[in-house]
Amino acid sequence: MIKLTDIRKNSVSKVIIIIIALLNLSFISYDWEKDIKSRDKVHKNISTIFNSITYTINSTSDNFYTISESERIIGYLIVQSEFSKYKKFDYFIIYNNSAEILKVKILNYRESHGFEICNKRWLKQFIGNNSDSQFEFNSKVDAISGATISVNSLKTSIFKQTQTLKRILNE
Amino acid sequence: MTRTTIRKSLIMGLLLSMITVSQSQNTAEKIIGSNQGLHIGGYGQVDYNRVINDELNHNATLDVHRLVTFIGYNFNDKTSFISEIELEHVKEIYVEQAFLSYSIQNNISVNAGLMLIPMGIQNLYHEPPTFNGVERTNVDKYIVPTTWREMGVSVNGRIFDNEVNYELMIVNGFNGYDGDGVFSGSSGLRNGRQKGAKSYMTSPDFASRFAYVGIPSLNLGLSTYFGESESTAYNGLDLSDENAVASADSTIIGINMIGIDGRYQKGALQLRGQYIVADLSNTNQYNISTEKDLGSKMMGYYTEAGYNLLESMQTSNELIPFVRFENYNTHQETVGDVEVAPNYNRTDITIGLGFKVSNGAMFKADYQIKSNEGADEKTYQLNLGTAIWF
Repeated sequence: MIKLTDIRKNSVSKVIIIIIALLNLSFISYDWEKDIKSRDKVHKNISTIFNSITYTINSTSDNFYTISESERIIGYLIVQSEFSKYKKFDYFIIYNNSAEILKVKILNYRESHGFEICNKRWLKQFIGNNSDSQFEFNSKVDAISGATISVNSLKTSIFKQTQTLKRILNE
Repeated sequence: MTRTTIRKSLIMGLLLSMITVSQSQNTAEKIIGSNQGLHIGGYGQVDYNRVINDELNHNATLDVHRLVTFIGYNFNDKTSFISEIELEHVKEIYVEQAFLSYSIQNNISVNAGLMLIPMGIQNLYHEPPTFNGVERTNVDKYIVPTTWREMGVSVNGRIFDNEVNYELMIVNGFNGYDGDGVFSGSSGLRNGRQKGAKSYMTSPDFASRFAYVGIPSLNLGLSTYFGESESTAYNGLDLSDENAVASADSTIIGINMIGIDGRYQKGALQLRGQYIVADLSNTNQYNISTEKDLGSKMMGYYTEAGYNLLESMQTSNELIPFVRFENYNTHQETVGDVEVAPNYNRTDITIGLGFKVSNGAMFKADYQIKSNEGADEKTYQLNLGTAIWF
């Protein structure tokens, strides 16, 4: 059941978040929303995971989004770029509303080495990986020989993003 | 709406906005910003090698074996230049890679310049902390002449939902004859690498590699190379002079090389293996006209198992004992008057330990037992080394 007060609380916080986000200077980063393929991929995944076609996403900062259904936050989306060896790759994480990872997917991978991280079966290892210790988090995801740099870059990035999200939600 | 709720919302908003700020502080991003910019890296290995023999004393050698500077520049999202400049044994300087890469689309790019031939594991993944043992495997010295790089154009990309990566390449071939024969029975094609130093070509060769990564922890590769070696005898050749053409034809060989390799890494366990076979044609003619003893078939393989003893410990360090069995034969078959030399059928057993103190830094120690079919005595070698990659 959605309480009326919850809706009000969320709308107010959303407005404030958006204002603050707008006040922030934007950093040059990959704009996935302008890339049709990436946009389709992200939305298809959100739609499947939350079994919804009526959800909305709202940007709170450059790469951070809330996923809402009937004005209630049902999850979070982070779209992020990281370096492999010398080029950036783009990926996204979908969380439920308690910051548990539901999906990780690579949107664009540009280097010839390290592409192994695009493998969806390998990426599944991040799902539900809720560990707060970086060591434990990392140990739940297998290494890939020949893709060490990309693997570590992705692990570190996802852990960092997840920790930040958790910290915010705990406030 | 209470005051605390507003305050909470405000704090949340502020914190959310901080995500962006904290991200902008990644060191790499700090220097480079967005997708553009200069990347500097490198790798190297510094080795101690000592042959141990019952009867004769051998001095140890201490060598800055290789030191390589990686310089990459991203002109934009799609275009980058990659280079590796190598100092070998301190005194020799080489360019190991120098190519321009352009992404036609997200998962297809075209490269042109001096590139690594995609044959086997170590020619492509040759950074010392990525393999066990102080020295590269000898299969990747005598059969695959690492670091094997030539000039050309390649297309690489990914298909089947990123489960298959491919690379197709057109390059100049080996220099097989430059007034004298270059190939030999003991070292195979190794001395024929042109390395982009005033390389020449009569007709191009073709290389390809397909890697399957659809099963996590497993990486399978299939590499091929075919074409003919190059010969300076074709330069300024009068094509109507049949004798001259026939004479030039006897200075080249045909090469068909195929390799399969696999790497498996799950938890503490690391397994890898590789098998390479090279069929060489026209070697009889070549050997007669150059007085060489090149084999008509070369073959090599290795299997290796390693185990990270620190896997379950609260550390990112790795302590990896490993064992490797390796057999390589540059005279698997011969034709004509060249007899198979049994001492070119070589077997190395390597037992070693690697201590990875970071992903890019490793101390290595190993002991090798080397034998060949032509001799009863074995040679023993102790290797110690440091390996870095950043």
